[in-house]
Amino acid sequence: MEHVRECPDCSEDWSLWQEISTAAPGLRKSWESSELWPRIEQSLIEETRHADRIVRGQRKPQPIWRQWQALAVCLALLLVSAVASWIVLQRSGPAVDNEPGLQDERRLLTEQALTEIEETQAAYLRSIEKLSTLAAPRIDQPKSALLGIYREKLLLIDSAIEELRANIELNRFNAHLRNELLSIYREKQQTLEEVVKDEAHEN
Amino acid sequence: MSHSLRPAATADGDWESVEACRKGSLAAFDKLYQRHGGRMKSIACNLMGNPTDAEDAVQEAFLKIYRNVKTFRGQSSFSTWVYRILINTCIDMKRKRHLHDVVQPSPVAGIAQPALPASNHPLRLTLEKLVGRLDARLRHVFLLFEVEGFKHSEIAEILEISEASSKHALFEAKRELRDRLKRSRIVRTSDEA
Repeated sequence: MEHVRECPDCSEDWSLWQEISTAAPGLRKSWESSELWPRIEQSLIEETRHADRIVRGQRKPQPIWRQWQALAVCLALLLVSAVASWIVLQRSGPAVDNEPGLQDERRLLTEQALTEIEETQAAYLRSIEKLSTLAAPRIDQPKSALLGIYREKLLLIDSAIEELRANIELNRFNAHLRNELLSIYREKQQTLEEVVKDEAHEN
Repeated sequence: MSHSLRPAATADGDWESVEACRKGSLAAFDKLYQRHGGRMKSIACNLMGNPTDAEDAVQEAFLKIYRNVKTFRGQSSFSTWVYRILINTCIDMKRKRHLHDVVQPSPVAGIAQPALPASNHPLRLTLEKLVGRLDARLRHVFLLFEVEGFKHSEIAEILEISEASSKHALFEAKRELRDRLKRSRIVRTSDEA
Protein backbone atom coordinates (compact mmCIF):
# COMPACT_ATOMS: atom_id res chain seq x y z
CA MET A 1 0.00 0.00 0.00
CA GLU A 2 2.97 2.23 0.66
CA HIS A 3 4.02 1.89 -2.99
CA VAL A 4 0.51 2.63 -4.18
CA ARG A 5 0.46 5.89 -2.26
CA GLU A 6 3.84 6.98 -3.63
CA CYS A 7 3.60 5.77 -7.26
CA PRO A 8 1.27 8.02 -9.32
CA ASP A 9 0.39 5.29 -11.89
CA CYS A 10 -0.37 2.68 -9.28
CA SER A 11 -2.27 5.24 -7.25
CA GLU A 12 -4.46 6.05 -10.26
CA ASP A 13 -5.04 2.37 -10.95
CA TRP A 14 -6.04 1.73 -7.37
CA SER A 15 -8.32 4.72 -7.39
CA LEU A 16 -10.02 3.59 -10.60
CA TRP A 17 -10.40 0.09 -9.20
CA GLN A 18 -12.21 1.50 -6.20
CA GLU A 19 -14.32 3.84 -8.33
CA ILE A 20 -15.56 0.95 -10.44
CA SER A 21 -16.73 -0.96 -7.38
CA THR A 22 -18.36 2.18 -6.01
CA ALA A 23 -20.12 3.07 -9.26
CA ALA A 24 -21.18 -0.48 -10.16
CA PRO A 25 -24.26 -0.66 -7.90
CA GLY A 26 -25.47 2.39 -9.80
CA LEU A 27 -26.02 0.12 -12.78
CA ARG A 28 -28.77 -1.66 -10.89
CA LYS A 29 -32.09 -0.92 -12.55
CA SER A 30 -35.43 -0.57 -10.90
CA TRP A 31 -38.69 0.65 -12.36
CA GLU A 32 -42.36 0.32 -11.77
CA SER A 33 -43.96 -2.31 -13.93
CA SER A 34 -47.46 -2.83 -12.69
CA GLU A 35 -48.37 -4.66 -15.90
CA LEU A 36 -45.64 -7.27 -15.69
CA TRP A 37 -47.06 -9.61 -13.05
CA PRO A 38 -50.57 -9.65 -14.62
CA ARG A 39 -48.90 -10.51 -17.94
CA ILE A 40 -46.88 -13.30 -16.35
CA GLU A 41 -49.95 -14.55 -14.49
CA GLN A 42 -52.00 -14.60 -17.70
CA SER A 43 -49.30 -16.49 -19.58
CA LEU A 44 -49.06 -19.01 -16.73
CA ILE A 45 -52.85 -19.50 -16.77
CA GLU A 46 -52.73 -20.09 -20.54
CA GLU A 47 -49.84 -22.48 -20.07
CA THR A 48 -51.86 -24.39 -17.43
CA ARG A 49 -54.85 -24.63 -19.76
CA HIS A 50 -52.64 -25.77 -22.61
CA ALA A 51 -51.04 -28.43 -20.41
CA ASP A 52 -54.51 -29.57 -19.23
CA ARG A 53 -55.70 -29.85 -22.82
CA ILE A 54 -52.70 -32.01 -23.69
CA VAL A 55 -53.25 -34.23 -20.65
CA ARG A 56 -57.00 -34.52 -21.42
CA GLY A 57 -56.20 -35.32 -25.04
CA GLN A 58 -53.84 -38.07 -23.95
CA ARG A 59 -56.18 -39.54 -21.35
CA LYS A 60 -59.53 -39.22 -23.15
CA PRO A 61 -60.45 -42.50 -24.83
CA GLN A 62 -61.45 -42.29 -28.46
CA PRO A 63 -65.23 -42.57 -29.00
CA ILE A 64 -66.34 -45.80 -30.65
CA TRP A 65 -67.54 -44.05 -33.82
CA ARG A 66 -64.10 -42.53 -34.18
CA GLN A 67 -62.52 -45.98 -34.07
CA TRP A 68 -64.99 -47.24 -36.68
CA GLN A 69 -64.35 -44.16 -38.76
CA ALA A 70 -60.64 -44.87 -38.72
CA LEU A 71 -61.28 -48.51 -39.64
CA ALA A 72 -63.58 -47.46 -42.49
CA VAL A 73 -60.98 -45.05 -43.82
CA CYS A 74 -58.35 -47.81 -43.72
CA LEU A 75 -60.63 -50.21 -45.56
CA ALA A 76 -61.51 -47.59 -48.15
CA LEU A 77 -57.83 -46.88 -48.73
CA LEU A 78 -57.14 -50.59 -49.05
CA LEU A 79 -59.95 -50.99 -51.56
CA VAL A 80 -58.86 -48.00 -53.62
CA SER A 81 -55.27 -49.22 -53.73
CA ALA A 82 -56.40 -52.72 -54.73
CA VAL A 83 -58.57 -51.38 -57.55
CA ALA A 84 -55.79 -49.07 -58.70
CA SER A 85 -53.31 -51.97 -58.74
CA TRP A 86 -55.72 -54.11 -60.70
CA ILE A 87 -56.26 -51.36 -63.29
CA VAL A 88 -52.51 -50.82 -63.64
CA LEU A 89 -51.91 -54.56 -64.09
CA GLN A 90 -54.72 -54.80 -66.62
CA ARG A 91 -53.29 -51.94 -68.67
CA SER A 92 -49.71 -53.12 -68.59
CA GLY A 93 -50.24 -56.89 -68.98
CA PRO A 94 -51.24 -59.19 -71.87
CA ALA A 95 -54.88 -58.81 -70.97
CA VAL A 96 -54.80 -55.80 -73.27
CA ASP A 97 -55.91 -58.25 -75.99
CA ASN A 98 -59.29 -58.39 -74.37
CA GLU A 99 -60.07 -54.83 -75.36
CA PRO A 100 -63.03 -54.86 -77.80
CA GLY A 101 -61.37 -52.61 -80.40
CA LEU A 102 -58.30 -54.81 -80.69
CA GLN A 103 -60.41 -57.95 -80.72
CA ASP A 104 -62.41 -56.60 -83.70
CA GLU A 105 -59.17 -55.67 -85.47
CA ARG A 106 -57.69 -59.16 -84.95
CA ARG A 107 -60.96 -60.76 -86.07
CA LEU A 108 -60.98 -58.66 -89.27
CA LEU A 109 -57.43 -59.69 -90.06
CA THR A 110 -58.30 -63.34 -89.51
CA GLU A 111 -61.35 -62.97 -91.70
CA GLN A 112 -59.21 -61.38 -94.38
CA ALA A 113 -56.63 -64.22 -94.21
CA LEU A 114 -59.41 -66.78 -94.28
CA THR A 115 -60.91 -65.18 -97.36
CA GLU A 116 -57.53 -65.34 -99.12
CA ILE A 117 -57.08 -69.01 -98.15
CA GLU A 118 -60.59 -69.88 -99.31
CA GLU A 119 -59.92 -68.14 -102.62
CA THR A 120 -56.73 -70.21 -103.04
CA GLN A 121 -58.66 -73.35 -102.12
CA ALA A 122 -61.32 -72.49 -104.67
CA ALA A 123 -58.60 -72.07 -107.31
CA TYR A 124 -57.15 -75.48 -106.41
CA LEU A 125 -60.62 -77.01 -106.51
CA ARG A 126 -61.30 -75.59 -109.94
CA SER A 127 -57.97 -76.90 -111.20
CA ILE A 128 -58.52 -80.26 -109.49
CA GLU A 129 -62.02 -80.53 -111.03
CA LYS A 130 -60.66 -79.95 -114.54
CA LEU A 131 -57.79 -82.42 -114.03
CA SER A 132 -60.19 -84.98 -112.47
CA THR A 133 -62.40 -84.77 -115.55
CA LEU A 134 -59.36 -85.45 -117.74
CA ALA A 135 -57.93 -88.19 -115.54
CA ALA A 136 -61.21 -89.89 -114.55
CA PRO A 137 -61.32 -92.50 -117.37
CA ARG A 138 -57.86 -93.77 -116.50
CA ILE A 139 -58.28 -93.64 -112.75
CA ASP A 140 -61.68 -95.31 -112.69
CA GLN A 141 -60.37 -98.22 -114.81
CA PRO A 142 -56.58 -98.34 -114.45
CA LYS A 143 -54.79 -100.20 -117.19
CA SER A 144 -51.39 -100.39 -115.50
CA ALA A 145 -49.96 -101.00 -112.03
CA LEU A 146 -48.72 -97.43 -111.89
CA LEU A 147 -52.22 -96.07 -112.54
CA GLY A 148 -53.46 -98.42 -109.86
CA ILE A 149 -50.98 -96.82 -107.40
CA TYR A 150 -52.13 -93.37 -108.52
CA ARG A 151 -55.72 -94.43 -107.91
CA GLU A 152 -54.88 -95.64 -104.38
CA LYS A 153 -52.98 -92.42 -103.67
CA LEU A 154 -55.89 -90.27 -104.86
CA LEU A 155 -58.30 -92.26 -102.67
CA LEU A 156 -56.03 -91.65 -99.64
CA ILE A 157 -55.80 -87.95 -100.53
CA ASP A 158 -59.60 -87.72 -100.81
CA SER A 159 -60.10 -89.37 -97.42
CA ALA A 160 -57.55 -86.97 -95.87
CA ILE A 161 -59.36 -84.06 -97.53
CA GLU A 162 -62.68 -85.25 -96.09
CA GLU A 163 -61.17 -85.56 -92.63
CA LEU A 164 -59.59 -82.09 -92.73
CA ARG A 165 -62.78 -80.52 -94.00
CA ALA A 166 -64.70 -82.08 -91.10
CA ASN A 167 -62.17 -80.62 -88.62
CA ILE A 168 -62.27 -77.23 -90.35
CA GLU A 169 -66.05 -77.16 -89.99
CA LEU A 170 -65.47 -77.29 -86.22
CA ASN A 171 -62.83 -74.56 -86.27
CA ARG A 172 -63.01 -72.38 -89.35
CA PHE A 173 -60.22 -70.03 -88.17
CA ASN A 174 -57.61 -72.77 -87.58
CA ALA A 175 -54.78 -71.70 -89.85
CA HIS A 176 -52.86 -74.98 -89.42
CA LEU A 177 -55.76 -77.10 -90.71
CA ARG A 178 -56.26 -74.69 -93.56
CA ASN A 179 -52.59 -74.97 -94.58
CA GLU A 180 -52.78 -78.76 -94.33
CA LEU A 181 -55.81 -78.79 -96.60
CA LEU A 182 -54.10 -76.51 -99.11
CA SER A 183 -51.04 -78.74 -99.23
CA ILE A 184 -53.22 -81.82 -99.75
CA TYR A 185 -55.08 -80.02 -102.54
CA ARG A 186 -51.70 -79.21 -104.05
CA GLU A 187 -50.72 -82.87 -103.68
CA LYS A 188 -53.94 -84.01 -105.37
CA GLN A 189 -53.42 -81.46 -108.15
CA GLN A 190 -49.86 -82.70 -108.75
CA THR A 191 -50.96 -86.35 -108.67
CA LEU A 192 -53.76 -85.68 -111.20
CA GLU A 193 -51.31 -83.73 -113.39
CA GLU A 194 -48.92 -86.73 -113.31
CA VAL A 195 -51.79 -89.06 -114.33
CA VAL A 196 -52.72 -86.74 -117.18
CA LYS A 197 -49.05 -86.41 -118.27
CA ASP A 198 -48.63 -90.20 -118.24
CA GLU A 199 -51.64 -90.48 -120.55
CA ALA A 200 -50.04 -87.96 -122.91
CA HIS A 201 -46.79 -89.94 -122.92
CA GLU A 202 -48.64 -93.19 -123.63
CA ASN A 203 -50.42 -91.57 -126.54
CA MET B 1 -41.11 -30.75 2.29
CA SER B 2 -40.23 -33.06 -0.52
CA HIS B 3 -37.74 -35.77 0.33
CA SER B 4 -36.41 -35.66 -3.23
CA LEU B 5 -34.97 -32.18 -2.69
CA ARG B 6 -31.38 -31.82 -1.66
CA PRO B 7 -30.29 -29.49 1.16
CA ALA B 8 -29.09 -26.82 -1.29
CA ALA B 9 -32.64 -26.16 -2.36
CA THR B 10 -33.94 -25.91 1.16
CA ALA B 11 -31.13 -23.84 2.62
CA ASP B 12 -32.42 -20.52 1.30
CA GLY B 13 -35.93 -21.03 2.58
CA ASP B 14 -37.39 -21.45 -0.89
CA TRP B 15 -38.51 -25.03 -0.39
CA GLU B 16 -42.11 -24.02 0.26
CA SER B 17 -42.11 -22.06 -2.98
CA VAL B 18 -40.66 -25.01 -4.84
CA GLU B 19 -43.33 -27.38 -3.58
CA ALA B 20 -46.13 -24.91 -4.31
CA CYS B 21 -44.72 -24.12 -7.76
CA ARG B 22 -44.54 -27.82 -8.48
CA LYS B 23 -48.25 -28.03 -7.74
CA GLY B 24 -48.82 -25.16 -10.21
CA SER B 25 -49.92 -22.67 -7.55
CA LEU B 26 -50.15 -19.18 -9.04
CA ALA B 27 -49.86 -17.71 -5.54
CA ALA B 28 -46.47 -19.39 -5.22
CA PHE B 29 -45.33 -17.84 -8.48
CA ASP B 30 -46.67 -14.49 -7.29
CA LYS B 31 -44.58 -14.87 -4.13
CA LEU B 32 -41.57 -15.82 -6.24
CA TYR B 33 -42.10 -12.71 -8.36
CA GLN B 34 -42.44 -10.48 -5.31
CA ARG B 35 -39.25 -11.91 -3.89
CA HIS B 36 -37.02 -12.04 -6.97
CA GLY B 37 -38.86 -10.01 -9.66
CA GLY B 38 -37.01 -6.74 -9.02
CA ARG B 39 -33.58 -8.30 -9.18
CA MET B 40 -34.60 -10.37 -12.20
CA LYS B 41 -35.73 -7.25 -14.05
CA SER B 42 -32.48 -5.47 -13.24
CA ILE B 43 -30.30 -8.35 -14.44
CA ALA B 44 -32.41 -8.76 -17.56
CA CYS B 45 -32.28 -5.02 -18.29
CA ASN B 46 -28.49 -4.96 -18.04
CA LEU B 47 -28.24 -8.03 -20.30
CA MET B 48 -30.95 -7.11 -22.82
CA GLY B 49 -30.26 -3.37 -22.89
CA ASN B 50 -33.77 -2.03 -22.42
CA PRO B 51 -36.74 -2.45 -20.04
CA THR B 52 -39.12 -3.79 -22.71
CA ASP B 53 -36.92 -6.70 -23.64
CA ALA B 54 -36.06 -7.17 -19.98
CA GLU B 55 -39.74 -7.60 -19.06
CA ASP B 56 -40.23 -10.02 -21.96
CA ALA B 57 -37.25 -12.01 -20.73
CA VAL B 58 -38.57 -12.13 -17.16
CA GLN B 59 -41.98 -13.29 -18.41
CA GLU B 60 -40.37 -15.97 -20.58
CA ALA B 61 -38.19 -17.06 -17.66
CA PHE B 62 -41.27 -17.50 -15.45
CA LEU B 63 -42.86 -19.69 -18.15
CA LYS B 64 -39.72 -21.80 -18.29
CA ILE B 65 -39.66 -22.08 -14.50
CA TYR B 66 -43.30 -23.21 -14.58
CA ARG B 67 -42.60 -25.80 -17.28
CA ASN B 68 -39.45 -27.15 -15.65
CA VAL B 69 -40.03 -26.84 -11.91
CA LYS B 70 -41.01 -30.53 -11.77
CA THR B 71 -37.56 -31.46 -13.05
CA PHE B 72 -35.81 -29.28 -10.42
CA ARG B 73 -33.88 -31.74 -8.25
CA GLY B 74 -32.42 -29.32 -5.72
CA GLN B 75 -28.82 -29.68 -6.81
CA SER B 76 -28.55 -25.92 -6.38
CA SER B 77 -30.67 -23.49 -4.41
CA PHE B 78 -34.01 -22.64 -5.98
CA SER B 79 -33.17 -18.95 -6.33
CA THR B 80 -29.88 -19.59 -8.15
CA TRP B 81 -31.76 -22.03 -10.41
CA VAL B 82 -34.27 -19.27 -11.15
CA TYR B 83 -31.51 -16.77 -12.02
CA ARG B 84 -29.76 -19.36 -14.17
CA ILE B 85 -32.95 -19.79 -16.17
CA LEU B 86 -33.28 -16.01 -16.48
CA ILE B 87 -29.72 -15.53 -17.76
CA ASN B 88 -30.08 -18.38 -20.25
CA THR B 89 -33.38 -16.91 -21.41
CA CYS B 90 -31.72 -13.53 -21.96
CA ILE B 91 -28.90 -15.16 -23.93
CA ASP B 92 -31.42 -17.07 -26.09
CA MET B 93 -33.59 -14.02 -26.67
CA LYS B 94 -30.62 -11.86 -27.60
CA ARG B 95 -29.45 -14.48 -30.04
CA LYS B 96 -32.91 -14.71 -31.56
CA ARG B 97 -33.43 -11.00 -31.82
CA HIS B 98 -29.92 -10.40 -33.18
CA LEU B 99 -29.37 -7.64 -30.71
CA HIS B 100 -26.05 -5.91 -30.51
CA ASP B 101 -23.76 -7.18 -27.82
CA VAL B 102 -23.27 -3.58 -26.76
CA VAL B 103 -25.88 -2.53 -24.24
CA GLN B 104 -27.83 0.38 -25.63
CA PRO B 105 -30.82 1.41 -23.57
CA SER B 106 -33.78 2.35 -25.76
CA PRO B 107 -36.72 4.06 -24.10
CA VAL B 108 -40.10 2.61 -25.04
CA ALA B 109 -43.43 4.32 -24.55
CA GLY B 110 -45.67 2.70 -21.94
CA ILE B 111 -42.86 1.24 -19.88
CA ALA B 112 -41.36 3.26 -17.06
CA GLN B 113 -37.66 3.95 -17.46
CA PRO B 114 -35.26 2.63 -14.84
CA ALA B 115 -34.54 5.04 -12.04
CA LEU B 116 -31.01 6.42 -12.33
CA PRO B 117 -28.85 7.20 -9.32
CA ALA B 118 -28.44 10.96 -8.97
CA SER B 119 -24.75 10.87 -8.10
CA ASN B 120 -21.76 9.79 -10.12
CA HIS B 121 -23.55 10.15 -13.46
CA PRO B 122 -20.61 10.49 -15.89
CA LEU B 123 -18.75 7.52 -14.45
CA ARG B 124 -21.93 5.40 -14.28
CA LEU B 125 -22.78 6.11 -17.94
CA THR B 126 -19.24 5.35 -19.06
CA LEU B 127 -19.15 2.23 -16.95
CA GLU B 128 -22.48 1.07 -18.39
CA LYS B 129 -21.11 1.41 -21.92
CA LEU B 130 -17.86 -0.35 -21.04
CA VAL B 131 -19.61 -3.21 -19.25
CA GLY B 132 -21.69 -3.72 -22.39
CA ARG B 133 -18.47 -4.23 -24.35
CA LEU B 134 -17.08 -6.87 -22.02
CA ASP B 135 -16.92 -10.51 -23.00
CA ALA B 136 -20.20 -12.22 -22.00
CA ARG B 137 -18.62 -14.38 -19.27
CA LEU B 138 -16.86 -11.41 -17.65
CA ARG B 139 -19.95 -9.24 -18.01
CA HIS B 140 -22.19 -11.81 -16.31
CA VAL B 141 -19.85 -12.19 -13.33
CA PHE B 142 -19.33 -8.41 -12.99
CA LEU B 143 -23.07 -7.70 -13.12
CA LEU B 144 -23.94 -10.42 -10.65
CA PHE B 145 -21.18 -9.55 -8.14
CA GLU B 146 -20.65 -5.80 -8.34
CA VAL B 147 -24.09 -4.68 -9.48
CA GLU B 148 -26.50 -7.22 -7.99
CA GLY B 149 -24.43 -8.19 -4.97
CA PHE B 150 -24.38 -11.97 -5.35
CA LYS B 151 -21.63 -13.93 -3.57
CA HIS B 152 -19.07 -15.84 -5.60
CA SER B 153 -20.57 -19.13 -4.35
CA GLU B 154 -23.97 -18.07 -5.71
CA ILE B 155 -22.50 -16.86 -9.00
CA ALA B 156 -20.72 -20.18 -9.34
CA GLU B 157 -24.08 -21.96 -9.03
CA ILE B 158 -25.94 -19.58 -11.34
CA LEU B 159 -23.35 -19.68 -14.12
CA GLU B 160 -22.34 -23.28 -13.42
CA ILE B 161 -18.68 -22.42 -12.97
CA SER B 162 -16.27 -22.80 -10.04
CA GLU B 163 -15.92 -20.11 -7.41
CA ALA B 164 -12.29 -19.64 -8.47
CA SER B 165 -13.43 -19.01 -12.06
CA SER B 166 -15.95 -16.50 -10.80
CA LYS B 167 -13.26 -14.63 -8.82
CA HIS B 168 -10.85 -14.73 -11.74
CA ALA B 169 -13.53 -13.51 -14.15
CA LEU B 170 -14.36 -10.63 -11.81
CA PHE B 171 -10.69 -9.62 -11.58
CA GLU B 172 -10.37 -9.78 -15.39
CA ALA B 173 -13.54 -7.76 -15.84
CA LYS B 174 -12.43 -5.04 -13.44
CA ARG B 175 -8.94 -4.88 -14.95
CA GLU B 176 -10.41 -4.47 -18.44
CA LEU B 177 -12.84 -1.83 -17.20
CA ARG B 178 -10.05 0.01 -15.39
CA ASP B 179 -7.82 0.02 -18.47
CA ARG B 180 -10.61 1.22 -20.70
CA LEU B 181 -11.66 3.89 -18.22
CA LYS B 182 -8.05 5.04 -18.00
CA ARG B 183 -7.79 5.23 -21.81
CA SER B 184 -11.06 7.10 -22.09
CA ARG B 185 -9.88 9.64 -19.48
CA ILE B 186 -6.57 10.16 -21.29
CA VAL B 187 -8.45 10.78 -24.56
CA ARG B 188 -10.84 13.21 -22.82
CA THR B 189 -7.97 15.09 -21.18
CA SER B 190 -6.08 15.44 -24.49
CA ASP B 191 -9.30 16.60 -26.22
CA GLU B 192 -9.84 19.26 -23.55
CA ALA B 193 -6.21 20.40 -23.84
